[in-house]
Amino acid sequence: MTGISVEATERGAWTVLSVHGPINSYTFNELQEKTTLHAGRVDMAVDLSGVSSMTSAGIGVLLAAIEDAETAGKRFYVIAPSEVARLAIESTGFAERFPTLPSIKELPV
Amino acid sequence: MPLIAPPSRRKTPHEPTAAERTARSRVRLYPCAAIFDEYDGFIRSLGFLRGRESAMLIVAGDEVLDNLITHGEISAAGVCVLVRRRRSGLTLAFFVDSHREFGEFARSVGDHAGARPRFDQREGRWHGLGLTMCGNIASSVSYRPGDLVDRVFLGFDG
Repeated sequence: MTGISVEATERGAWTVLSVHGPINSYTFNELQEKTTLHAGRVDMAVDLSGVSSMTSAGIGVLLAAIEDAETAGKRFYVIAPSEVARLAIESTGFAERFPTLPSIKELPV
Repeated sequence: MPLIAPPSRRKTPHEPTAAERTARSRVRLYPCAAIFDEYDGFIRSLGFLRGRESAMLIVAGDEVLDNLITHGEISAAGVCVLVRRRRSGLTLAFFVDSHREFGEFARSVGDHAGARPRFDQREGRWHGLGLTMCGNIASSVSYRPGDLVDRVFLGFDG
């Protein structure tokens, strides 16, 4: 899978972006477009369970979305990151900046 | 000499074989959108990696590739990737045709060693984030520019 797919769905008060594929300098624009559309406007969660790899290009997009959400007083969660996505987040040294839930079912009402 | 090794010397199912201890594999990748899939597939195909090692090599290696691509440092000749296991640990190495920007980058890494990543509001992007990620995953990272070939070496403790 060379590209990524980013599917947006509504789940109660939340907009959930489900990402599948590798996030890197070739593909991050698609994620950035979707997060820019929603971040800071609605409560947003990004499901990373289908992410096969993630570079700092993807980390940067998530950090920007988190900052937009915080600035606007909206909620933001990373959901069920795959092993490589979790390792990429941990490797930044500031994983605490990424509010994470193990499952989409754990999203608060 | 006893025919049966004492319990402390017997191999467990998880103990690497002699071949696994010194295994190595290489691949050449070319600059295109599929390069990350090809690299990740190569890493996942290596039978001598254990536990989280595949994930570590994928995250750190993708980061190196992303930087080489972003700065236009992979020529049509591609990039050679080598993974080697020794008793002391794993080495992940990248070899690319020499590029002026790589030398400048390698020198700047030394100048900014230990610096935290920072967000450039004007450019709208992070600086040093990939370096930090590689540095936190690998036990050693070195960038070695050359007249013909530039090299990146990442070491992972065994």
